[in-house]
Amino acid sequence: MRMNDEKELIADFRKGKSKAQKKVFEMHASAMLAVCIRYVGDRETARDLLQDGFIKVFEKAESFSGEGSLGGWIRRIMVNITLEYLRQKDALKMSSSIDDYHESFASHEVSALEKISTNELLACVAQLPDGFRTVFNLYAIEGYSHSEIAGIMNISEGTSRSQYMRARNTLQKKVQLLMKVNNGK
Amino acid sequence: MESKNNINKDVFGEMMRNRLENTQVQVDENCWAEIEQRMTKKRKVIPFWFWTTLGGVAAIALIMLTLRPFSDVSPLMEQTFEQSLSVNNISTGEQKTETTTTQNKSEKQENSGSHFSKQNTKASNQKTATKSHKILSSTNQKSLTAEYVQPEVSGFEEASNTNKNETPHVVEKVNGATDKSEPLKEQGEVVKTKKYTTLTDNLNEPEKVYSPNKQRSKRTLIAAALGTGSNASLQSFSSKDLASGLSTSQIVETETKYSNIMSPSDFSTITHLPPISFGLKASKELSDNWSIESGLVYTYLASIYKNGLYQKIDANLNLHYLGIPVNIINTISSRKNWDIYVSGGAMVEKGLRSIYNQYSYVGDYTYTTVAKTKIDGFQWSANVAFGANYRLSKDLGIYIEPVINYYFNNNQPMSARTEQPLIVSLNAGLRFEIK
Repeated sequence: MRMNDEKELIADFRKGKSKAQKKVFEMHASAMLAVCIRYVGDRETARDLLQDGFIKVFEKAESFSGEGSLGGWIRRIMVNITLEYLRQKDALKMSSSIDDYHESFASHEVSALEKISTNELLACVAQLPDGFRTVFNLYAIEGYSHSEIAGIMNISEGTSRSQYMRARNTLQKKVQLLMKVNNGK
Repeated sequence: MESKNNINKDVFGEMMRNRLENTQVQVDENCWAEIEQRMTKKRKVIPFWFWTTLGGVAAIALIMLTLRPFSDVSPLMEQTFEQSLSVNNISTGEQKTETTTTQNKSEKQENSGSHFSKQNTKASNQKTATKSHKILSSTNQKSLTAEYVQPEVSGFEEASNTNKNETPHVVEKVNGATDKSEPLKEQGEVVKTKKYTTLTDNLNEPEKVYSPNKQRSKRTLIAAALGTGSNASLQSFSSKDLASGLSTSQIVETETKYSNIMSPSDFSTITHLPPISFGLKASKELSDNWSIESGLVYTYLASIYKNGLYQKIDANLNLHYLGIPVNIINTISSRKNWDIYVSGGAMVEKGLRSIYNQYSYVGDYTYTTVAKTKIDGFQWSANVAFGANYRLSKDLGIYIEPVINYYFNNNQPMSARTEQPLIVSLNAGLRFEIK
């Protein structure tokens, strides 16, 4: 998309023009659905949240300053929508049911991990308990710091850190298991 | 352990981030349709402030209807034309003649610039005023209120006559007397006789030495806008305008039913006050640049008639219209919250009420006639505008637009519109967007 076209699109989008809204949806819906799935682990729920999120995006279109990317702005709204959903279902309570797992992820396994499909990775993430999955997404994928996550999830920074470790180790174990299964095929 | 985990994070976490950060999952086709459907439902909910604003406009319109605020307003601009007339205003035919003789009263007849012979005669310290009326033939559809009050009495009373074949209800007051039937005899200074004869409508009209121009003037009126969805026109007549400005429109179109109601040619000064409109408009987007606009517009038109040519008489006319505009808007430029647009369309208006007040001064008497009538037919107009809209929110904007209106000749009562069909006005107001 040319720069001028993008500016025009954003201008129309901010004015609430339906054509621009549809275009924005078409440009970002697939990425945002993946975000929602990563957070809630369930495609149907993610689809509902995607719709809620885009409606909110359109309602708040005028508040988009134009600084930064539109995709990044929409993504933040989507993340907030999913977090709100998880809060409402009381899913952000930290679980301690996962045993500590400290096995390291060897560098040679990184290349093997490339053979795992994105859907399989998403499935692994989806299997995490809600709280762990949320911390993992916020820290590892979105790049929030533990202090920021603590504020978002109303937990202590230490809890965020420990939850992330547990989530990552659990996920790592699942991925390694999946790699073994794939290698055995 | 911490360093080990950090290393793990660096490897595993970064790998996961690289794989999942920009992942895309195909969205099914129905997803957007469902979003649109949900948004349409949301948009159909009209917010509270919409009804509040609508109520406010309705209240203002009601006040305008009730109070007739310009009845006694000094005209913004007055133009006077002079006529040399030789009038034989002797009435024959069906006629109601009132002759009032008052002793020790001086007549203060002022007819500057008009030269004509009258039926009124003056003798030393004695005045005889003669007034001609057509016999009222009111119907159940229209009502006439006629009332005579003396100048000292503020305001006037109304007596409606809606029955067929009844004459107007006449109330006479002399020297502050409050009794409507007895004051003349009690004062002992006034001898009054009434005589009813027949007068045809045509004979009731004064003879004119000029020919009213049947063509409506095409001059442009300059207008300024005030208030919500209002427009106001400041008009200008030259003496030439007035000579030609006496159109075929009548003050009260149903004049044949009201004998004492003057026609425009009976006055030397006619002032049409700026029209005032209040309205609510809503626009619906048809495409990215095109939208259609409609709404409800109330308009108040007032005219002041002064310096009767044949007798001392003043009058004012108040017209109330409610219209539905339909305009097509093309947005030619959009920047931030500003939209620049051109629009064109039409409006049909229905006259709600015509209220005519006429004050005849005979000596110390003021004869007040109030005629409240319906306004038949519709007023059609076309308009083009160039405007700017500032979006206060997604659904609400404030606009300002110079508009050229052309009012078609639809046999409406005399007003600024009938005299100057091409009016340039400056409108401002709120525009609601319906998605």
